[in-house]
Amino acid sequence: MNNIGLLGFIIIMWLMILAAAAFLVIVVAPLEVVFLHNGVNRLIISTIQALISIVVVILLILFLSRFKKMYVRRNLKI
Amino acid sequence: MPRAIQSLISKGRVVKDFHKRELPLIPRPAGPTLLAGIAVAEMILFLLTFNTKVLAILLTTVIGYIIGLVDDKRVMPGSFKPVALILAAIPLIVLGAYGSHLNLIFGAVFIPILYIPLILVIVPVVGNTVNSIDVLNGVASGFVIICTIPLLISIAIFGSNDVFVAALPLLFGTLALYKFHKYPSKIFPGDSGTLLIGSMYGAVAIAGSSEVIGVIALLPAVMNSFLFLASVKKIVEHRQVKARPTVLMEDYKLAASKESDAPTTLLRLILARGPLSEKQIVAQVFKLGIFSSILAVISIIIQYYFVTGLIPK
Repeated sequence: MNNIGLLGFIIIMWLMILAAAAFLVIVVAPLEVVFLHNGVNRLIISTIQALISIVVVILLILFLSRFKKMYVRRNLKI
Repeated sequence: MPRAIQSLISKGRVVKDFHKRELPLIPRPAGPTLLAGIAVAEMILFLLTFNTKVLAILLTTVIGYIIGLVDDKRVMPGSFKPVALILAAIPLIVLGAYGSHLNLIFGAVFIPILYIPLILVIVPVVGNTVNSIDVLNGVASGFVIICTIPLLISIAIFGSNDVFVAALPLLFGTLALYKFHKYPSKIFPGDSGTLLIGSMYGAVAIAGSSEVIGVIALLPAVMNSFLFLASVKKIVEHRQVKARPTVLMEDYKLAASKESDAPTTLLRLILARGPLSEKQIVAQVFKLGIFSSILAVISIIIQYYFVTGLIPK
């Protein structure tokens, strides 16, 4: 395999998916319990959770975009 | 498939294979034949189980195929496929072929409302991702065969038996297609074939509670779509882009384009180290597919321990 760089790119994408998944499971999902305990409406909690999840996905895409630029510049020399 | 090949040739439904010296005329599309095989299998399964998830998978696949067929017959704008594929996701929602929990490797999250917009995103994204990887002989069919294996393992563990059986025609259908699509191709799947495969892949991943695993297995293709979109900065058809990502050399090897405005694709990055023959590039894509499938299997193992609760949280 002479595409070690591409394998690295795929590993980074995979690790980022794992990190985002871990954040959503460990931080975002338990928010429901905390907010419900304080009497906040379930719909508001779900909206907050959905917004955080969307922000996480956007951050993931932005980071990937940055990383892609660096990778492409180095490999294609353009 | 051989009959379909003969039929397409006799009707003159052929296109040039530009990556070969002799420019052979290759029949297209293989979508109708592929759909016939998959649809018969799914209908028999539905009549045996009356599981609405099976029906939803079948309907999503058929709608994906119809959208592809429209694109095969006439050149549609770049936004057509992603927008139209939202329709393919509707049977999954209407027939309730999804769970209320999304498996996220380290646990499952309860998202009954958010799940619906997620389905409307997953099917078009996966459909287009498989469509965009169909660049050389045998790549789309061979790549999907590789990626379907971890998806099937995941469905067997986290999904239901019915969905697992409903996903098998995807594997066997693409295996049958690969026999004739591999280098040198005797038939091309066309948009009807690739969108059918992509829609079905997305549908079984959703119905089998294996969305994230399915995406991880597809990572090289996801990367290809991401690179293309990030460099072109809008949704367009590949044929609408003037600067090509690769150039065909005199010896019929492909090389990465040096033009700064050429779109960045997986193929262009594979060729960054030097020109390769079509066969060598296909082998490289398959190796990347095997690698991402291994990552998907590792993810399945992690998810198994967290979701089934064998490791105390």
